[in-house]
Amino acid sequence: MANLLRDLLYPFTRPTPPASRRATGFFTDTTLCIGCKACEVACKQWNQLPSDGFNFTANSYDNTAQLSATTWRHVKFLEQFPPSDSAPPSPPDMNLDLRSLLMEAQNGRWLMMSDVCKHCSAAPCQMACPTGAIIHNEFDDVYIQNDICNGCGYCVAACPFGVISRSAFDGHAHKCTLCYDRQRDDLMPACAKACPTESIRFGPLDELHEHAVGRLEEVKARGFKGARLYGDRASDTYSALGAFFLLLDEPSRYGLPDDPDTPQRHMIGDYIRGAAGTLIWVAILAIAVIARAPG
Amino acid sequence: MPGLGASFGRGAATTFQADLAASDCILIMGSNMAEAHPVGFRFVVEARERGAALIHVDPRFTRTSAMANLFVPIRAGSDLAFLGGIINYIVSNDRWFKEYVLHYSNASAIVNEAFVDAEQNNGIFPGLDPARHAYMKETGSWNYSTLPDGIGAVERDPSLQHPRCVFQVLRRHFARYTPEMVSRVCGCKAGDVVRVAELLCRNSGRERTSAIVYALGWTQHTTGVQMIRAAGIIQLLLGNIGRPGGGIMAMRGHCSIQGSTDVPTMYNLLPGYLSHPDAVPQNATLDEYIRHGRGFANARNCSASGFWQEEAVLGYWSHIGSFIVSLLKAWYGDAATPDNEFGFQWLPKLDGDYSELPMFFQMHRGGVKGLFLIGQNPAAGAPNASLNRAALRNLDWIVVRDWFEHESANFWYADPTAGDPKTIKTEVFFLPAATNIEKDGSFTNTERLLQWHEKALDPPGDCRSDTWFIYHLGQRLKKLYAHSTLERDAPIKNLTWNYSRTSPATLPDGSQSRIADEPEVEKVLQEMNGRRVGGELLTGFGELKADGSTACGVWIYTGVFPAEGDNRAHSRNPALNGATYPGWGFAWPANRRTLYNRASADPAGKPWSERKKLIWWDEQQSKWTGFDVPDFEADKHPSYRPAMGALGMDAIAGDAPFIMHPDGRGWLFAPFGVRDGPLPTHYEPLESVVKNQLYATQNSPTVREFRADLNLLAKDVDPEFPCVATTYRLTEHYLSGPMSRFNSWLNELQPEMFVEIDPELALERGIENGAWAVVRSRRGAIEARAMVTPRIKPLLVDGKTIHQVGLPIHWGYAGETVGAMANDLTSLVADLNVSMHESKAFSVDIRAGRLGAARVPKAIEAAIRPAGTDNPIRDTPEFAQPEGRQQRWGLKRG
Amino acid sequence: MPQAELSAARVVTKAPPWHRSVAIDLLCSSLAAGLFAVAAIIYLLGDATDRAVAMVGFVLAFPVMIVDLVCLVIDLGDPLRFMNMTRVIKPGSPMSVGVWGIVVFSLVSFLCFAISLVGIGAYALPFLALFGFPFALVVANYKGVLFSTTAQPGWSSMRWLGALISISAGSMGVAVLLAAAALAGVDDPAAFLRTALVWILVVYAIVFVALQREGDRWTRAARRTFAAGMWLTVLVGIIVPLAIALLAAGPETDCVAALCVIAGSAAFRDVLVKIPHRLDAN
Repeated sequence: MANLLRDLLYPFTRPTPPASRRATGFFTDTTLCIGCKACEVACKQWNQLPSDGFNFTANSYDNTAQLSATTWRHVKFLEQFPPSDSAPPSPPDMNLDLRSLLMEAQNGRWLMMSDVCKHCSAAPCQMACPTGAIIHNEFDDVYIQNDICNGCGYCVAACPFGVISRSAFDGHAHKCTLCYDRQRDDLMPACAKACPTESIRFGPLDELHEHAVGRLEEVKARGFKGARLYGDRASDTYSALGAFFLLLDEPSRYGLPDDPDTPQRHMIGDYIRGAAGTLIWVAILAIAVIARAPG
Repeated sequence: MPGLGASFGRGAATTFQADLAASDCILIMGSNMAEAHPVGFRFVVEARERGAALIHVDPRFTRTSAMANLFVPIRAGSDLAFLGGIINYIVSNDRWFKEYVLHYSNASAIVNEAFVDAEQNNGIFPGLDPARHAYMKETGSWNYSTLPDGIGAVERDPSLQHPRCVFQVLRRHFARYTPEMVSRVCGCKAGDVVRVAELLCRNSGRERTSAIVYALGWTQHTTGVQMIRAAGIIQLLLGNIGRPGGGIMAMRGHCSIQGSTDVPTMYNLLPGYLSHPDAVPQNATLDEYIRHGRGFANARNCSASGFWQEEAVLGYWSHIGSFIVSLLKAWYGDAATPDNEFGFQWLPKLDGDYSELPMFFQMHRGGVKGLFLIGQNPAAGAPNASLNRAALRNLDWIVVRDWFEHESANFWYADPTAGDPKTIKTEVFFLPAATNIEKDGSFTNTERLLQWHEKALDPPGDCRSDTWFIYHLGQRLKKLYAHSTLERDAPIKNLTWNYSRTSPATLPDGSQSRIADEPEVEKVLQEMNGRRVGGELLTGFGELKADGSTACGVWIYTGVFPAEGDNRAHSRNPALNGATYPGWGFAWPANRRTLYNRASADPAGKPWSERKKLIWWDEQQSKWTGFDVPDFEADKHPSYRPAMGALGMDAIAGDAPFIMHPDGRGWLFAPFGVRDGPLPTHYEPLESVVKNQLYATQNSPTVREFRADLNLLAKDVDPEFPCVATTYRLTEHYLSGPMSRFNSWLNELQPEMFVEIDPELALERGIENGAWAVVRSRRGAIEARAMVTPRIKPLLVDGKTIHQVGLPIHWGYAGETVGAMANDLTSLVADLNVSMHESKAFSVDIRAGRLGAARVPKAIEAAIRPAGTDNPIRDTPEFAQPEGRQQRWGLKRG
Repeated sequence: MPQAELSAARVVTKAPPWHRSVAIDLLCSSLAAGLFAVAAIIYLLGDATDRAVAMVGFVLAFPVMIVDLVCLVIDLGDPLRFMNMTRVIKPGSPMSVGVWGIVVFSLVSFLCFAISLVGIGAYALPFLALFGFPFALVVANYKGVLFSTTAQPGWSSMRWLGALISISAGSMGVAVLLAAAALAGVDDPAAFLRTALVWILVVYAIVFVALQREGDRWTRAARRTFAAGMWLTVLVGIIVPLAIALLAAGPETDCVAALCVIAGSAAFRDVLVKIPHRLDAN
């Protein structure tokens, strides 16, 4: 009985939130990703997340398939080879003019990207959460307090990136915590720590932004015309991301929405339309009652 | 590693991984570094980001290729032709580093008159004994020509014009490796070899350096040693050895495999690359052994006289007496005296090849009764695994020590290709082993770096460290033979074997270890380091003596433990001093990070350039100084020239950086040390889909085959097997999976055995992506899921379209995920130098469908959520629990 | 064949873990709220006969609400977890708004239920009806907005979903009370309820068509995938009851009309809940 009471009252306890700290985040530079998946394993190990089962997808080297309640980092593999590439090669090129040989373009590329919760600065999941379980913590990272989470799944529906899902094991929503526990102890998140090529960078957001702008210039200067930053700043429809990316192609190629939309942007309008509809049927009924044929 | 040993003097990577970051061009070939060595690959990425050209030449477009600026696909097994093309380009376009080559290589040496190059004899060097698959006759023809001065000084032509000088021999040898020829052999474009060569040339010289990285993609061929030799020739010609950002990085296949050749686990080596004595007159006594020197073992013919004899008297190997006597003192202690040759006769004398492949071949014929298997999984991981399993089934008993019950431990009941378990007589003793975090010890990694690791916690249950097992086994043997008076038991009786703890073992948290009889591993390292008999530890191998006053277990490791309490392998200073990280661990020899670093300065001792300086001659202090420990006598002036008849290190000139070689030079032409030819020559793999375009000789004439029903070969372009297969690793698994396939976190990343094929082949054979396919070689057939990918390309080889098939080696019939073994397709053959097999290129055929085998392997239950991991971690507050263990709401579903 | 590239054609979002229990919840909350709201209007604006019919609405609304709450709790997995939603009031979260609506509405509808059933304290009924009315409308309204303010394919572009669900709630309330009135043989309320039903169904049809005209390629894909469910909604939920209400009058036909309205609403809700799952799987 006492336990029941404690459990009942627990969600209503309100500890004082810790003082706000410098906002942190991830900058994932996909040009440096070697697809080793060390981030995935480091994440699972640190956070003690179970395996998602053994499913061979035959989709390049991506057998993780998606982020989930128990997979908070996911390395995507993108094989971009022009179809002509699979044809038998043309007869040996006997033209040994060096300049043209050295300038000859490469055919095909294999892009890799470590995906993660975007830690949106205005997060639809956080806005949608009916319990207040999802918060921006003192590092301004989006964090699910899973002792408060009631498992309604509304955050799952709200996330435009498909990051969150509800665990079948405990019925709570889970996602990347940006290693909140490690940050509290001044440690780097496990994935960034494990990344051998610094493709995943962790740090104060302002520093990451500065670095990312420099990187983009470098990469563009090297001839990658499709290079772009994703989520480094707010768009008309979406806030800036706390975990942003340097991509070499269109976001949709990487399985990211090209123009993410904040669902709650439409909420007031939807309520008004709803109210209008309601008003109409209520009015119809009221008129029918009042103006009924005299009986 | 005779490929590097013969070229430069030491069979080890000449540089260190962090140094790759200083490179201007990195050629990765025969290595999938990003996947197999992802952590070291960070330095390659760093170099690329600084503007270095990153080139990957490989049969498959891998995660390494994805990071490269230039990827060149070649047919598996054709690497040597490609490298030959680069050498030809450098020489014929006059792009070699003149001053470097002239002074630091043996380009000017004149080769013996009797030498006839393979060029003139269908790809065969003089002296071949076809019956024995070895070069035995016409002794001495691979040697230098010597001056008739009574001392035998090497005849030289500094103008490099003499038709028999090494440079001219080399030029003629590689003349046929034209870009067009390379294209026909490798299936790449002719322009590709030019492009790669040009990038290397432009990034070499005084101001710039290029590095070459290789791994098992080169070694696991019957011509692997010669591929490495070819890389050595390129780097000597371009002047890239001994310099920052240069060198040859040999990426090893296991975490301490360098250590296991240093210390070693090799049947034919004693610690520190001393050769193991043979059962021949030249090794009959300690004096004979010392007199014939180390060159004896590496010479191709034991009875022939030749330049190899100089190794006993010239260069650093002239100290072999100090090394062997100190080793014997370390092993036999007080029992080793000058009167009994320090116990030399207690060493067994070799009468044959006892390396792994011949040993398992013998075993499969019933020639071996029992086997200790420690940290190895031949049932799945060795070439021709099915023959290996037949061998295991022929044993009376086997002791397996490992973390998990892998294929070599459960073969008697779990192998789907084997018969009824009742018919298998082998008695299996499985002993659980401690993991590396459950024991103290050291790894010697690919860059000769010793790094100590500390025990973090006690192993569970009966798991014990391998050191514990070997130590106590030794103790019991000594007890067993304590009262024996037989001479043959003397080695065991006299063996020094005292590594027991002097103080109780404590764990990092301060608590007492549960395992009180764990030996003290630092005592082993101290023995390796060496000490004065009954006295203090040695600080360098220069202190070793041949009179029995010093004892040293591994002479090259001397200095790793220079004083009590000073374990240098334990040091972790991450500071960069300009070019190296001298405070991080300990690199043998003598903490030198870049070998042959004398070559980083010009003959006069000045750095070749400010940008690429490493060590240099300091005139004021009159010694060599710089960012690395000089791989040279510290006070030898650059202008020093040996007197006529000088011996030992005195015979090495002040501008001769390769001090392990008797002439102090890097070898373009190897007068000894490589048994299948002084110059690299392309032969096709034993199983090839094309004829050798370069020579009339199809395969290496020195390859050893092991004839057996279980080991048939598809030789001479067998049309039944039209595809080229190659085996490889994935980042997600390790070896045949005895560690990784028992780990759910890794299994979910690569859950199934697959075969990588190109879309055209898939279409031709009707194989769907993700569907089943059967791959067949002369040895057998396996089934795997098809991964159809444009990353694999059909190649045009000599006008014929060739398809390649990629097979990861990670699966077997034990573990959470199970699958077919790629090694059931590979063959048991051995090259002459190191008895290496040929798993990287063999012939197969592929079809859609399944095998329909009577038995399929069964996985152990997947520990998707291992027992106990639901519980909160004890002594840890709620807020600090890992997310996956937070339990407040304790509700379990499904 | 070579693996497909990730492309724009793939759904990026994850479908929420909402299945049948949510569809039933969606139906029950609408029905309960519709019943209550319609009953309240009739009770407050009508005469004594009307009030008797309204009492049927009060009696029915609460049990339906109980079914709804059971579905919600089943979906959450733990009854205690419902409490978590009462620790905050977040006007920005339709679910939070809805939960508070449900909490108050459940209490009020319980009181109305008890009073209507037992007959004690009937004087409080007008006040309770007036007080509960806006909360019933909140319950009828929020679900549609909850769905349309997600990132899910289909849902996220249904701007008129809130209106549609609310009108559907009203149509169900009117249809059920019409059947009740017809069964009780009270012609007067039955007549104006029938008139109201006709007009409400007309509005419903208009909004439904509007909903079909808006939206992105996902809603188009959804229409193709769920053509059967959509036609069921239109045919059974709108056309048939409309025809019945226009052409016939009587307890039997009114009961069939009510059942049709409910079935049509159920069909639409079933389709609605399935949309992201089915598109995700494609």
